[in-house]
Amino acid sequence: MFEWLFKYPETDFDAGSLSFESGYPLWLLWTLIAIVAIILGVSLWRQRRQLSAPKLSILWVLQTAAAGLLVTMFWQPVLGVKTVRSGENAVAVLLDNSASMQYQHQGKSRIQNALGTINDDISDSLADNFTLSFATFGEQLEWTQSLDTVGPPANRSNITGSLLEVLDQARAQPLAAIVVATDGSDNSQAFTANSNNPESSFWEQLAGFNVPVHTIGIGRESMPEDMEITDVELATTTLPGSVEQATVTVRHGGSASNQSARIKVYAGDSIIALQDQTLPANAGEITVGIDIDATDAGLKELRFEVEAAASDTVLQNNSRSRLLQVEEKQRRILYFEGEPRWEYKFIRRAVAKSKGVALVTILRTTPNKFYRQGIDNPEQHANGFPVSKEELYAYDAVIIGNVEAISLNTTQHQLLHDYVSERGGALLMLAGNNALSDGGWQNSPVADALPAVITPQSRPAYERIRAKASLTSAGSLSAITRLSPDPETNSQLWQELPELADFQRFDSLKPGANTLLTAALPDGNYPLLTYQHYGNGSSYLLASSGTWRWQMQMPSEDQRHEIFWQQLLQTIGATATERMTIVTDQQSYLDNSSLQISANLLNAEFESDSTSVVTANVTSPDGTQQTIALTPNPENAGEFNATLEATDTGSWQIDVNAYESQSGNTADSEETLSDSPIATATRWINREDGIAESYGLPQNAAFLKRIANTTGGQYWTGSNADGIPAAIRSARNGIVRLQSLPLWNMPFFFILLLGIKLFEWVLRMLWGKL
Amino acid sequence: MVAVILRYVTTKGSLCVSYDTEPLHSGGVLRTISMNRCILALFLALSGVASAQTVTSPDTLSTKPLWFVNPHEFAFARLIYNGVDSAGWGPRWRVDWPEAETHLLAGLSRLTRVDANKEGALVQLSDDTLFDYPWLYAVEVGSLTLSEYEAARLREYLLRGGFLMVDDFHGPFQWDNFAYALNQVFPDRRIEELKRDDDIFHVLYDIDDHTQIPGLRPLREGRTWERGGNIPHWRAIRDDDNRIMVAINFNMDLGDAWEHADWPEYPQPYSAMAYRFAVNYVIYSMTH
Repeated sequence: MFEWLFKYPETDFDAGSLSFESGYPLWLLWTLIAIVAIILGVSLWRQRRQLSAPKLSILWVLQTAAAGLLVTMFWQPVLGVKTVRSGENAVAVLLDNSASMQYQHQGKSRIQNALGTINDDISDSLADNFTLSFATFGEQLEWTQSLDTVGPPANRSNITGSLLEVLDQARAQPLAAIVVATDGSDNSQAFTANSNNPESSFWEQLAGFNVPVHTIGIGRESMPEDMEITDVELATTTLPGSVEQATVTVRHGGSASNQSARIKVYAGDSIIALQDQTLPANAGEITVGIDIDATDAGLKELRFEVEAAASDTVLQNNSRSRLLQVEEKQRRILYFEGEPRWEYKFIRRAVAKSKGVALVTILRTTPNKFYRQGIDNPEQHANGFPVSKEELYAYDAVIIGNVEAISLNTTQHQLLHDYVSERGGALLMLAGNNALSDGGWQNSPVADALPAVITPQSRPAYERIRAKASLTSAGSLSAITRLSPDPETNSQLWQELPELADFQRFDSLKPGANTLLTAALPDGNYPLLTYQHYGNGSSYLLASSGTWRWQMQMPSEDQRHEIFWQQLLQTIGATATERMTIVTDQQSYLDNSSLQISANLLNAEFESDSTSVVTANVTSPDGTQQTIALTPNPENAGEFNATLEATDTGSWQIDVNAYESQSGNTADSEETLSDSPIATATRWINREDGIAESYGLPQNAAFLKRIANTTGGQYWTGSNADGIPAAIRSARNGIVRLQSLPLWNMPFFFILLLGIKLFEWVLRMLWGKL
Repeated sequence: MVAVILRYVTTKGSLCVSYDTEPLHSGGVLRTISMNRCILALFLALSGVASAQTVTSPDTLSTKPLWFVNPHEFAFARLIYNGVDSAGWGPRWRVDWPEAETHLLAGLSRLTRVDANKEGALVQLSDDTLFDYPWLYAVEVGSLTLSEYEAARLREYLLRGGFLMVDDFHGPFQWDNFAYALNQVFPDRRIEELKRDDDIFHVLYDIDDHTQIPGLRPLREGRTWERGGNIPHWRAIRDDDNRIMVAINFNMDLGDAWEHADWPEYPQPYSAMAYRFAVNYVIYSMTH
C-alpha cells in the first residue's frame, strides 16, 4: 500500500532525503505560493456577502493548498537515496547448522524452515543486485557455494565468532550486509547467547565494522512443553561438613494448577537432595536453592535433574552436571579470649567435630599467662596475640572475645585492622564486659572495620539480661543461620531456642552492615549478629556471649548450638582470601575442549606475587598426567595464565603449585626453585560432549535483535524476511550511488489534490454556494 | 505411709543431724542422736525410697541465692542431694557450706581472670536452674543417693557440657556407695584413674605433687586419712571426646582445706594445694 501510494518502499523514505531538482531558487517557490494565496484571498474576499468570513477562510486555505501543491510540482521534488550498485556489492548469507537447528516442530526442523526462507524469499531477490556468499556455521564457519545441501550438524554454535570472522574476512570487500538465519542459541566459549555483559568487547567490535547484520529468528521463542535446567550455580570448592547452596535455574512452560517440578540431586546413583518446587502460572524461569551437604573430603560428581513432564520432548536438557571439591584442608581460625568464659568452652566444643575448621585458641587465664589450645608447637603464641603479619595472616579468621583494647599494643591493633582490610581475613568480635565500647575498642583502628558504630557509653553497654534471638529476613537466607533447609522449619527452630543471658549494646549499624539475627530485649529489638564487608575482608559482630545457654538448656542430642557455630566459623573462614586461587572460564565444559586457567598468587604478606614460578599438574580422566607452565600476566600482578586442551570427557584435576623463585626471574628456565611449593590449589573441571546444543532451545530473539540494532540491521522472522533484500538495497553499505527518485508523479499527490478539491466542493454544496 | 514417715524424719531431723557448719572448732559439741530415727533414715536412704522425696528442700534455706541470670560469669553451684551419713551426720550436701566456696571463690578471683561470683549457689538436680550452672560441686558423695529421675538429670547435665567435681569421701564403703550412684548415671562409662600428665593438672598450675589433702578432724587426730582411705585418688569419668565430665577426689577433703584456709590450726600447704587443684578444675571446666 505504502509503495503504491508513494511509488517507492518505505525504507527508501527512511534512509533518503527530500530535495528539488528543478534548480529554481526555493525563495521563488515560497514567493509564488504567497502571491497565489493573496490572489485567492482577494478573490474570495469579494464573495464576503455570500459567505461568512470563517467559511471563506476555510475555502482560502483549501484553494491555497491545492495551488501550492501544483506550483511545487514545477520545482520537481525528488527523493535522494543511496542505492547499492548492482553486482558490485556482496551479501553474506549465513546459516546456523548447529544441532539445535535440527529440532523439529510440527514435522519440520528449524534448518528446513531457515533454508526455505533463504532460498525462497531472499536469495533470488538479493542476487539481482548483489554477489551472494554462503556459509554455514556451528563451532566453525564454513563457506559454501550454495545452501542447497548442508553438512552434518555441529555440536556447538558460535554465532558471535562466526560473525566477527565474516566481518574480518570482508574488510577489503564491499560487504553490503550479512544475513544470518539462526535460533540465536550461542554457546561459544567467548560469549554466551543470553549474556549482556557490558564488559564484553563483542558489541563494540561488531558495531565497529559498520556492516548491517540482518538476523532471521528461527524457531519458537517459547516452548511450553519443554522444561530445562538452564543453569546451576554452585561453589567449586568447600570444606568437609559444610553446607553449600546450589542455585538451580529452571525454565518451564508455566502451570495452570499449581503444578510442581521435582528437582533431584544425584551423587553417582544416589539422591542426596530433593526439592519440589511449585511452578508459577506464567512460563518463565524459576530459581531454586538446594542445600548440598559436603560430608567428607573428596570430589563430588553431582547431577542436578528436573523430572520430565509427559509432554517434555527434549530430555537431555533436564539435567546438568557439576563438580564440588570437598577439600581436605581446614580453615584456620584464631580465637583470642581475655578471660575464662563458658562461651569459650562451648564454642570449642561446638567446632571440635567440625572437619573443616581448625580452631587455635589463646586464653588469658591470669593477667600474665596464656592457655593455648589447638597450637602446632609449645612455643606458638606463648606471648599471646600475634605481633607479626606472618603469624596473624596465616589464619583465615580471627575471633576476639572479652578482651579490653588496651591489652593489645598499637601495632597489634593496626595489624588486626589490616588483617581485614588488606589480607582479606574475617574478624568476629564477641560481646563481653571488656569488649567493644566497654573495653575501649572505639579508640582502636579496628573499630573502622566493625559493622557497628562504637562510642563510649554512659553506663556499661554489656548487660547480663535476657535476650531472645530471632532470624531476620537476611538471616533466613544465610548459610550461617540455616538450622534447617526449610525456611519455616528454620524460623521455628530459632524460635524454640532458649534466651541468651547477656547482651551488649552499641550505637548503630554502619550503612553496609547486614543483620542476620536480632535480640529481643525488654525495650525493643537490637542487632545480635551483624556483618559487613570491609576492604578485602569482612567483619562480624555477635553482641552476646551467652549462646552457650543454647547448649546447656537444650537436650544433649540437640545440635543447634553446634550447627550454628560450625556454620558461622566455616562461613567466615571460607570468605577469607587464600594465597592462591584458581579460576577457570567455565564451571563445566560442554563440547568445548579449550580451558582457560588463571591462578592468582599472593605472598606471605598477602601482596600480589609475580616473582614465583607457577606450574599446573593436570590429570586427565584416564589418569594421564602432564605439567604445564602458567605465564605471568604483565598487566595484572600476581596473575598467571595457561590454556589447556582437554579433549577427553570426564573429570580433569588441575593441581597448581607456586614455587619461590630464588632470583625472582620467572623467565629464566634455569631458575632454581624452592623444594616445596609456597602455595598450592586444586581445581576440578568437568568435560562433556554432545549435549551443549540441548540447552537454550527456544529462539533467543533478544540476542538477535541486539545484534541487528547494534549493527544497523533489522531483526526478521520467517514471515517477513522477504523484506530483507529491499532493506539491504536501500542501505548505505558497500559501493553505492546517489539516485534521485522523482516524486511529482506519486499517486499520493494526485489523490491529495483531488481530495482537496472534492472537500471544497462538498463544503460549497453544504453551504449552498456552488 | 512412707510419706508420713519421711515427714516425721524430716521435721524431727534436727534431732539426729549434726552439721559440719556447726563450729566444731569453736567448742561445739555433737548433738544428741536419736538412734532409732537415724536407723530408720538410713534404711530409707539406702533403700532408695528416701531419695524420691525432697528430704532437704533448698526452699527451706533462706540463704539460698536464686539467679536466673547469673550476675557473674562463674558461679560455684553446690549440689543439694539426698544423703545422710551412716553415722547419722545429717544432710551431707551442706558439709563445709558456705565457707568452703566463699574462701575458694575469693582465691579464684584473686589468682585468675575468672569473673567469679563471691557467693556460691545451691542447686538440686530437679531444679530448672540446674542448666544455668555448668559447674557443679558435690561433697561427701559417699552418701550420695540418686533416684532414677535424678540420675537421668545428672547424666543429661553432664552430656550437655556440665562439669561435676566431687570431694570429701573416704574408704571402700563410701567409694562403693558413690560408684553405685555414678553407675546409675553412666552404666556404660568407666571411672578411670587420672595420670599426672593429664591436662586437668596442668591447665593453669602444674600440679605434680599429689599429696593427700586431709580434713580437719583426722588432722586433729594426727592422720591425713579417714575411714580407711589411706591413698588419695584423682579419678574421672570422661565423655565421648575424652573430656573429663566428673572429677573425683577420693580419700581427700579439699572442701575442708578451702574452708579452714583462714584457720591457723589447718596447715597452709594443704590449703594452697587444695586451691590449686580447684583452680585447675575450674579452668579445665571452662576450657574443655
